[in-house]
This record gives sequence, structure tokens and C-alpha cells, in this order.
Amino acid sequence: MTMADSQIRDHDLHHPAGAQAGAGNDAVTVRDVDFYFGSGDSARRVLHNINLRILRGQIVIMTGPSGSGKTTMLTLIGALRSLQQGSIRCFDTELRGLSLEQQVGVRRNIGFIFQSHNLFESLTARQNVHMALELRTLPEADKHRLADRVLGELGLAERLDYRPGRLSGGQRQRVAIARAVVNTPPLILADEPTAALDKDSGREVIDLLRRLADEQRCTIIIVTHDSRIMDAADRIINLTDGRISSDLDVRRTLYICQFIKQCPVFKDMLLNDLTDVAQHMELQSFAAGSEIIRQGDAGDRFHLIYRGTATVSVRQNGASREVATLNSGDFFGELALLRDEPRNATVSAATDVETFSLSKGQFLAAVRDHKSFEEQMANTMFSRRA
Amino acid sequence: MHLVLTGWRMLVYSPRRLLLSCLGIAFAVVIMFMQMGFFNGLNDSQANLARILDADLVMSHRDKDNLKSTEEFSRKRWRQALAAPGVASGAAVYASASYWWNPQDGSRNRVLVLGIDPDNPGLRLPQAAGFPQSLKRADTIFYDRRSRRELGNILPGMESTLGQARVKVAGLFDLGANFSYEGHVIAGNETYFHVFGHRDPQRLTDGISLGLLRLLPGADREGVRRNLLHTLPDDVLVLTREELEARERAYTTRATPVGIIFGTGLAVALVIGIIICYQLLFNEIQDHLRQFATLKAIGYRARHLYLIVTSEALLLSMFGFLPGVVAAAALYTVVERLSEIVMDLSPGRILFVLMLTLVMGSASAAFAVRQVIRLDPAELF
Repeated sequence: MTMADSQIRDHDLHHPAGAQAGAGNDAVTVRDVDFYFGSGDSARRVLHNINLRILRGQIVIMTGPSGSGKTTMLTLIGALRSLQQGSIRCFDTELRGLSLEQQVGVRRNIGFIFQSHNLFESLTARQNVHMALELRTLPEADKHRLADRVLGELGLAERLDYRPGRLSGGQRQRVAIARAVVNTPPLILADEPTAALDKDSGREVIDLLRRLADEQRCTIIIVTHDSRIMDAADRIINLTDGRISSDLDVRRTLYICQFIKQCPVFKDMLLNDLTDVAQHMELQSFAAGSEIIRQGDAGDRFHLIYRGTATVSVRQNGASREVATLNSGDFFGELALLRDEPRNATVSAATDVETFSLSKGQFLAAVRDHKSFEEQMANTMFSRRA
Repeated sequence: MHLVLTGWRMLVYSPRRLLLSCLGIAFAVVIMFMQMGFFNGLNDSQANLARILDADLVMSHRDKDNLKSTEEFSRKRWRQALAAPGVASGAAVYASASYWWNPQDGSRNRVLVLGIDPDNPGLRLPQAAGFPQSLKRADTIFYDRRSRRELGNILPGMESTLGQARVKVAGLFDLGANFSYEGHVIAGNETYFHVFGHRDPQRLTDGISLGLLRLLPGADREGVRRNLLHTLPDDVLVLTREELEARERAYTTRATPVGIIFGTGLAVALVIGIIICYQLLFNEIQDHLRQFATLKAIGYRARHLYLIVTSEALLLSMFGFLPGVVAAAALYTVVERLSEIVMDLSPGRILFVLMLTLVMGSASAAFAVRQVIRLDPAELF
């Protein structure tokens, strides 16, 4: 993953994955899904107890080695396969137990983008997009206008009457995307949308999807191996052998990594370990005036300030003295954990404060794992010398 | 409607493939036309005589079940009928089989000789110049131009032998051969009696083949017929001209297995057409499996896909039909010239084959679309 060179976008991080969010915000909720290919003795389990909540407006990248079940997951969410166990809610529709006929109805509200564009080579760009509008009861003129507008927005205004044979790979994929989005579906499922494209065309396509998610609060799930597009995601879910092996909130992870790297404890950590730490941090809120940690208490958490301002005060000889002000990006609380001592200062919220915090156990585990890693390195170097 | 248009666009996208497909369909269409043409030709040829009769009602011997058989009935019956109420006039037609010697190579073929009264012929042959007045001269005949070529290349003024008499060709008329006789000859009564002079004169003059009756204007045809059947002895049959023509047309089908033969031919042609059309659609669908699967993924139902495939099939059928009907028309002319069997391409028959062609298209679409229905869009990923 190449998150290091990614920029942190100035986005609202208020609802990172796992944070409390109303059910109305859920696009897709996957609960306890198992899936088998084949039946009887030859049945092969491709999904193990998958649980997932995907929020509206998110771009989620599902990645993992081939055979990990990510494509199966996508076809289940897209109502292209029938669920065997567990439940998937797609907006307000439970997909479990739908008839084939009902599945078709669900699919009409989903935009599909495939690895190959699957355009009719006998139809022009406009006619291909029109195919997706055909199922709606709209006057022909409106359908034409819609198709032209979407193609125009995707930079194909000059290519409306071109057949796929006369378009470049990127243009073809953009026509396919136009076909997928022309009905403004709340959910778009994309399977390797950039695999057949060169770097620039792939970038074009992914920027486009980003715009759709931002401007229309469209939820987009992308299955891909393409590391070049990971930075466009809000969330990266890694599947291995049918299980979710990691689930990263990209912006949050980037935010956390960027700042905790400055903490001496984490300074030398590899990016992979940092993202592990970031995954374990929880968002906590403190009202203005409340104490986040109190001098003399046993240390229980490590904090990174996400929003707001906090003041550090030390009580000495009965008098409290303010010694520092902490802002977004500052961290505190690690010393008490490392030394297993009581808190040496009080940190109180000057404004409403939100912090990402790590429990003592997780903190120590991270440090310990990191150490053992260092030891391994030392051992390796030692054995080389021998 | 847009889906039909889509079918059309898919079809015309590759002109080369379209052309080949059309030729395939056209081929099947031509086979169907030919089978139907032979079948109709047989029936039409059988019925051609009924068409030239100038009569409202036609009398014949009770057992005469078609115009090519030679049962005769008494002239007296016809005379009695002429006197019946509602009957204005009539004509008597003699008919017997005889041999015609080809003047060019001397070969001999069966012809049907009709004997008529030149002053009251009872036959409508507007294209025959000089008919029937020229027949008043002794031993002259009118020759059917569309008799089979084996009878020789006959022109007015030629002489040949008919039965045992030498006759001279006074003119030509158009009727057409059939499967009972190679040709037709019309003679005046006197000539007719001469040709069949070896027979008993009494019976020869009394035994007529058809008694033609024309009714008074406004007469009730059914009433007159009922009255005739009631008053005459039951050795005669009275039919309207239309009934006679219909009976003649159906006769061959009823009396011979030609209906089954050509019906089977037609069915086989239809099946060939379905197979050709199916093959074309199958390839077309194979080339578009991913596209069709995509349509299924985005919510197209079976009937939408069926509509696309069917419109492709029907449009293809129409495209194939056009060259097919042109080729069939050309072939009809050739066959007609070679066999002298009537190959009539009426609008009704064209419509019938068009209908069969469309049935062919829809049937093949119904077969071909099954591979689309079976498509699992999940396989796209």
C-alpha cells in the first residue's frame, strides 16, 4: 500500500468506520454471511462469517488474492447470486430470500462496472448509455438528454456518436461508467474497473468515481488489485481465504499515522505496523471543561487529539499551573503507560475535544511487537555476521 | 421500441454478415416458394379448365368427380335443363382423350379434345385470335400453346394428326398442361365427331361431358339448381362454376399424395429455414454474450432480451424474404416455361410464404434466446 505519499484530504472525518452513525447512513450491511460453491461433499466454503457495514458516500476497495472471495462478495451485494446464510441489507432491502425476479428489481438500482467495458460494438456511445435508460418510463427526449449529459460530464461530449471501435480504452470504460451511473444509482459495484487501462486512463476513471461519491453521495464498492487507485478509497477491506483480514479507514489511518509517527515510541515503526496501531485506536469525545486524564490516576490510555484544544496543567504544592496547550495532531499519555506510573499531569478539554485513543494493553502490545521485530532484525544481522 | 431498434442496429452493424445471413434465409424462402409453387401448380393446372367455362351452373355426369375424367351424360338432360325456369341459355361441351402426333418428330402424346359449337362455344378464351369462328371450317382445331413441348412446336396453319384424322391448326389458346394430359385441343363439333368417327355415332353425339347453363339476370342460382336436381333424374350433378373450380383445385390433393409430398417438402423447407436462422442468431448471440449478460445484470428481464433477439430474427427474415421472393419469381417463370405447369405467384401466396418466414424467424428466436435466458450475469465477474 502506498499511503505514505498520499495527501490527507481536508475532509470531514466525523464518521469514521465503526463510529456511531444512524442506520439511515448505512448503504450496505452484511451480517454473518457464509457462502459455499457446490454442494454436498464437494462444497467449497468461499466466505466465512463476513460482517460489514458500508456507509453512504463511501468508496470501499475490496482487495485480496484471487480466490479470496471478494468477487463472490460483490456478486452477493449486487443481488447477482442468492444468499445461502446470513443477511445483506442493501439500503432498505433485505437480499436474503429474494426471488430471482425480485433480485432483478434490486439490480436496477445498482450501477455495474465490469473489467471489460461490455459495450455493444454496434451501438454508439449514446446508444449504449441509452440501453441502461430503456427500462425507465421516460420520454425518449429525456433519455437522450440524460445520456448526453452524463457522457458530457465524463468528457465524451465530442464522442456521442462514436462506436466503441473508434474510442480509446479509457473512453470506452468511461462510456461503460456513463451507462452505470446514468440512472444515478445509490450504489455502484465495480470489478477491476482499471485493470484494462493504462495509468492515466485508470486515474481518470478513479477520479471520476471519487467525484460521484463526493457529489452524489453514491456508495461505491470496487474490487481491485490495482495499488495505484488505493488512495481514492475511504476504506480498504482485505479479504483472505474468505475472511476479512483487515478493514482500514483510509483517511483516519492516514491521519493517525501521520501524527503518531512523531511519537518517539512509534518513530521507527514500519508503515504496516503503524496502520495496525491506527486500526486499534478509538474515537472518544470530551465536552469542554471535562478532564481527559487526571494527575495521579493510573495511566490507561494513549491519546491523539483529533479536534479541539486541551490544556495541560500540573498541580504542585496545592497550586495548579497550566504548562501547555495541546491542539489537533498532538498526543499525550504515553509516558504513564510506558513507565507504569500514575499520570504526572492533568489534561482537560478547553473546547469540545475528540481524540483517537489506544488502550494500555494495545499500546504495550504494539510496543512489544515492535521490539520483537527489532530483536529479530538484530538477530538476523547477527547471524549474517556469523 | 428502442429494443427493436437495438436489434436492427446489431443486425446492420456488419453488412457482410447480414448479406450472408440474408442469402441463407433467402435460400430457405426459395425452397418454400418452390414447394408451394409445385403444389399450387398441380392444383391450378387441374382447375384451369373450370376457369374458362362461361357458365353460372355446370352439369355433368353424377360420377364425374373431376374435369379430366371422361364420363358422359345424355345431351337430353342438358336440353331439359335449358327449358327450366331461370335458365337463359347454355352450351354443351364434348370431351374425350385422344392422341396427338408431334408433326416434327412423329411422337404421340395424350391430349384432351374438347368439342364445342362454334356458334355457342361456352368457353371464354379472349386471347385466342379467331376463336371460335375459325372452327367452322372442317378439320380445324385450336391448339393449347401451353401444351408440353413434347407435342411439338405448333404454329397456326400447321397440320398434324389427331386420333385418326388430319387436322389443321386454326389458332392457339392458353390453358396449360396438367398431370393427366400433355395438352389440350379444341375442335368444332363436326371436327370432333370426325376425330372420334370410329365410335358409335348415336352415342357420340348424345354423350356430352359438360352441360353449361347461363341464368337469367337476377335468377336465384341456388333455387334453379335445387329445382334442376329435383326435376331431373339423379344421374346428373349440378355445380356452380365456383364450386367446380374449388372442387378441381382440391381434387389433386384429395385423390393423390401430392398434398402430402409437397406439404412435407414445405415443412422441411421451413425446418431448414429455422435451422439456418437459428444458426445465424446463435452466432450473433455468442458474439454478444457479455453484452447480454450485462443487460441482465442491470435489470433487463427475459422478455426484454427476447424482444431484442426476436426483432433481430424477424428483421433478418424480412431481409432474406425480399431476395427470396425475387429469386422465386424468376424460378417460377423458368419452371413454367419448361414444364408448362401453371406457377402462379399471387399476392395471397406471397403473403403466405412471408407468414411462414416470420414464423420461421420467431421460432428460431425462441430457440436461440434460451442461451440468453440461461446466461448467469454473476459469471461476468
